[in-house]
Amino acid sequence: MLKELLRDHELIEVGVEAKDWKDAVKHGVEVLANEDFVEIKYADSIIESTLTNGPYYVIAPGLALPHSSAEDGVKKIGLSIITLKEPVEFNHENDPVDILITLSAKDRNTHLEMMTELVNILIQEDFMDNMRKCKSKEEIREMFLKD
Amino acid sequence: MLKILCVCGNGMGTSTILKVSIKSIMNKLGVKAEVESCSAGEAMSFMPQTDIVITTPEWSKMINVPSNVALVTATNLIDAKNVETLLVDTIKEKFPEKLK
Repeated sequence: MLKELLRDHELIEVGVEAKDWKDAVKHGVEVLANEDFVEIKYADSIIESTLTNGPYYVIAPGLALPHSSAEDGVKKIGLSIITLKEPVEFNHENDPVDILITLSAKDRNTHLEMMTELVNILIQEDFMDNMRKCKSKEEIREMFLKD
Repeated sequence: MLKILCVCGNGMGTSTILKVSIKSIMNKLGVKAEVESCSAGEAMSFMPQTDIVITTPEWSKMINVPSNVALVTATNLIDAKNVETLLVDTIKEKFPEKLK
């Protein structure tokens, strides 16, 4: 499912310029919105939730998985992957963050399949470091598509 | 059967990631485990059926864990080796009979 998603849609951006974490979240949502996975207001919902609950989705050094609960502008299940030109601070132990994988999920069961694939890719040794070396979205896409 | 509960803010993103990686770790270790995920708000209702709670630093402070339930806090959720070590240490300490 993840592979089809990344093959059939433009969901990856490399070297995105963001002035702070909010800006980075907006860029991640924009990529999803351009492919009609979410409405642009989904960014506000993520930012609001972050201000209330903290940036708990910064799940590894340099990696954030911004998301929010379903009703706030999500149209269909998907994710976008952006790497930042300059890292930003989320005020989290895993700062600074330079990779954002923004999730749009309808409910926890439908996206389990996508998350399973994503985690199994991310936990490969050196995957994140190799991702940071990618200079084009095609290189990143290939990393995710190969087995 | 060891019952593991993964907890995060809305029970969708972070806890699902933990659930997926823990299932594969338990398989590898050959430990029979039931792995569930939920939001911090739902966590209390799961406690009677839980042996180990695993979550991130933000939520570990906010969840009241009964004394018979072990609490594991992980900062890097995609570092499988680290999560494995944390879990194995906890199982050895609290549920040694489950590790054969």
